[in-house]
Formats: sequence, C-alpha cells, structure tokens
Amino acid sequence: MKFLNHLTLGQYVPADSPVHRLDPRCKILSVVILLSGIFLMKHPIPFVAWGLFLVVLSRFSRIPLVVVMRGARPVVILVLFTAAIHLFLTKGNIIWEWGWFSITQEGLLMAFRMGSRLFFLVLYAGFLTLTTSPMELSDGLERLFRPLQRIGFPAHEMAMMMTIALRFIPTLFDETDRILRAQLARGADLDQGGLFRRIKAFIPVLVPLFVIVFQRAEDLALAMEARCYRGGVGRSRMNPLEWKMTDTLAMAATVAVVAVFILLDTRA
Amino acid sequence: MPIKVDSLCHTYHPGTPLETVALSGVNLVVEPGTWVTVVGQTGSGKSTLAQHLNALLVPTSGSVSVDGVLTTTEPMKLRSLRRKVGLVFQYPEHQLFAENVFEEMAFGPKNWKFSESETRDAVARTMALLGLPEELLSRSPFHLSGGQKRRLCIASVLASRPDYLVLDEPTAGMDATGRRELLGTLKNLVKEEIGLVHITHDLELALGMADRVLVLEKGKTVFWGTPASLMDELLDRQILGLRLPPLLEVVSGLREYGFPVPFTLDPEKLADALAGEMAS
Repeated sequence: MKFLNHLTLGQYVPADSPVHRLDPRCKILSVVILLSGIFLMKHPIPFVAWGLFLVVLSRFSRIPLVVVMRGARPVVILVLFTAAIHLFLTKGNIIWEWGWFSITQEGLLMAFRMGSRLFFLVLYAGFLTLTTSPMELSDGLERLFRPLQRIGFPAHEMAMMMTIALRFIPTLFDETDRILRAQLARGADLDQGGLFRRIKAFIPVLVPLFVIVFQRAEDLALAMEARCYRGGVGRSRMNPLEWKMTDTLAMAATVAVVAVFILLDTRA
Repeated sequence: MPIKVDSLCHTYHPGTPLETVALSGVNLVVEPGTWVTVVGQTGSGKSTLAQHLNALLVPTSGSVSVDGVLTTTEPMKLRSLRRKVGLVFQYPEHQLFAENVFEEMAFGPKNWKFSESETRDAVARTMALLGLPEELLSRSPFHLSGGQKRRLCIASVLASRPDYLVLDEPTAGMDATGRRELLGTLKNLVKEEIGLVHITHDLELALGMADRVLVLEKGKTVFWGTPASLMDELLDRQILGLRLPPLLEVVSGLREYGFPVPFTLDPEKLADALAGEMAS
C-alpha cells in the first residue's frame, strides 16, 4: 500500500551551479522579465528560440532537461485544452472543415501561440523553484516587497507565513499518513462507496488532523515568543542577501536575451 | 493458531535513492495468551514490524501470517485479518475524532459490521476491562485526562474484540503510576487469551512482563527467547548497548562477590534471598 509516501513536495533540486548561487532577488526579477517576454511573443519562430534558451538554462543550472520538463506535466491537459479551444473557435480563412468543426489558418496560429505561451510560462517559472530553496525564495520576496512596507504592506509577515507554511507541508503529510494508518487499523473503509460516503469516511482522518494543526500552531507561536520574536523590525539575518557582480551580469544577460527575442518576434 | 513471522524483510522506497532496509530476516511467533515484547532503539525497525502484523505493510520478502492467513492475501480476507489483530499506534490520542467516548469506541465495531447490540456490549465490556468509568461515555474524548485518553484509544481498538493486540510504545509519556496501572491491565488481557505484542525501548519493561522477548538492532534479530535467558545473556555480552536495570546490576555484583542470589526484578525477592544468605 502506498498511501501518501510517493508524494514529493518542494521541487527544489540542490546543485552547485552558477544559477543556484545567484541572489534570489536576481532570479525572481529575471523570471518576471522572462515571463513578460513570453507574453509578448506573437509568431511561431521565436518560440523555437525560447526552447533553445531553455536547454541553455538547464545546462547552466545543472538540472537535467528531463527534470525541467517534468514541471510541465500538471499543465499538459490545460495546454492542450487551451490550444484546442483556439484551434476550433477562431474565425478566419477555413483550411479544413468537417460537419460542425472547422479549422482556420488564424486558429492554427492562435492555438500554437497560446499553447506555447502557457507551456513556456510554466517551464520558465519552474526554474525559479528548481534552483532556489524555499527559504531563499521567501527571503528574496521579503526584500523585494520591503519598499511597499511604507504604504502598509506586511512584507516581513508575508515572508514569515510563507516560510512556516512551506516548512510544515511535509510534517502534515507525515501526520496525515499516520492518522490514515491508525484509522485503517481500526477498520476504516476509505476507498469504497460513492462520493458522499467517501467524504464521510474521511471525517475520522480530518478531525484529528485539525486538532494536530491547531496544537502545532499554538506550540509554534509559543516557541517563537519564547525566543523573543517581535516581527521583522530590527531583526538581523544569519545569511544576509548580497547582490554581487554576477547578479548584475545575469540580469543584464536576461534583459539582453529577452530584447533579442522581442526583436526576433517583430521581424518574423 | 498463532501469528507467525517468517524471515521477514522490509525495504522502504525500493529502487530509489531513499532506499532503506528496515527489517531483514526477522522471525517471530505470537501465541494467544502470551506476552511478547519487542525491544529496540529508535530506527531498529520496531514500528515497521508492528505494521506488518496488521497488514498495513506487506513483506518485501518473507511472510507474515495470522492464524494461517498470509498478509499478502486478497483484500476481502485482509479486512477480517485486520479485525483479528488490533494495532495501537504510538501516541494514539492523535487518532481521536468522535463527538463522545461511545462513538469513539464504536467506530471499530461499526466498521467491522457489529450489530447495534453487539457494539453496545463490546463497548461496555471493554470500558470495564480498561477501568474506564461508564459516565465517561457521553463525554467528549478531547476533554479526558492524558492517561484516560490513552486508555480510551486502547479500548477503542479492543472493542472490536481482536485476538491479538499490538501496542507501539503504549506507555510513552505516561507517569510511573499510569504506566504501572496500564501494564497491569494489559497483563489481565493476556490472561483472557489475547496474544499481546508490546513494542518498547525500555528493557526493564521487557524483562518484567514478557513471556518472550525479541531484541532488534538495525532491522536484525539479536535476541529471541525468554526474559530469564535474556538476563543471562546480558551478563555475558553487550546487546545493543542495553544496560542492565539497576537491580540486576546489584544482583550481578553480588554474585561476583560470591552470593548465589537469583536474577530477579523484584526487590523483595532479592532482599529475602540476601537475608537467607546472610543468616546461613
């Protein structure tokens, strides 16, 4: 019986690569630029370039291309669905017809554009979480949002909440697994009957889980208070973020690459 | 018919980088009406073994059978096998969920399709067996004391009338009085012909109560036999850095000085024997 132990969360792949060593802020901003670039693409040919750049990036970050592509698995259906909708519902020059269905030249182009956009968006966004540990990520976000604190945006609190949530996901999976087993041992029947019966069958798992979650939250709050946690004001860090020359270079390279791609697109 | 564990091996996440061998070549027999204690340190495979006895895990190789039925049998038979072997997890109070104590106790029996009156009988009987007063039945399980919660969890498994009971560290986090009471209750269960498997890291508990002891180290059997022979062995060799209970240290010291006192965990017996020696 497999239960929940085949689930791996947090897709961070540790490696010693130039991309891993970049400042998280640099990576977050670069990804924003890359994603904006993808949104601006209109023609099919530049997408080939985007694909090639993906290979280059995966080499630079020492993450096998297979692992990178795996990130797109959850959205394959969405990509196909989006492409199909555009393929069949765009009006224009009809090139193929069968009963109610018709495919137009514009539809073909639109389907390819929308599908590729979505596909590459997910893959490029994946690079951020593949090469940046959750801790670094929330540190980076905190620093990037800090200017907004002046207008009341709780940057530190947001980052802290994110860190805590990420920290507890595996723990909660373990707990759920244990409760599941305990109730199975008491004869719980979790995978039989209709939808309603199945939902009802999960009550003996959900109630203890909630109790544990609240208990843990309370313990954590107490532990944080015992260590004099008073929010982000005046708090120093063990690993302060440091913007290096390589980060500036990486940013410049990203901007240059996206600029070239946009140029390629307007010429196509 | 006993629970039979035959050269059981278990590997977690086989074929992945996380592959770990939890058990290798473990043999074990649990007869009804006997108390078997499994001793081992953290990571020795005790809890993995417990889940095999209830078919929550199935062997990577080797076999586990309950009354002649293998745990690798078809799902329909598996359900009745699970009813026969009650399993109480570590810190079982984390599994409480019902509105009141009665519902909590009735969860198992209802799952096994006991009739209304059978359920009520089983609940009443188990409550008495574990010394839980009847007025608790309508209370919320979350409002019981720590010791009562632990008892309730064991009772909720016992209510399904299993032939065997597997307990993973049932006394963890309990005070001395609670522990003694609980162990006394368990001893009574064994008298009622239940086959008990008690999993613990506490050697003194193992020596005191068990009919048979299995000592595990890193998934391998390092000892299987009676508590008396375990005591003998412990005098000769180190078993996983297990230390003799203080009283046995005293006995062993006395014997070295030439007093032929018996190995016992009962201070009174030791005192009597010593007094006899001194007098003669």
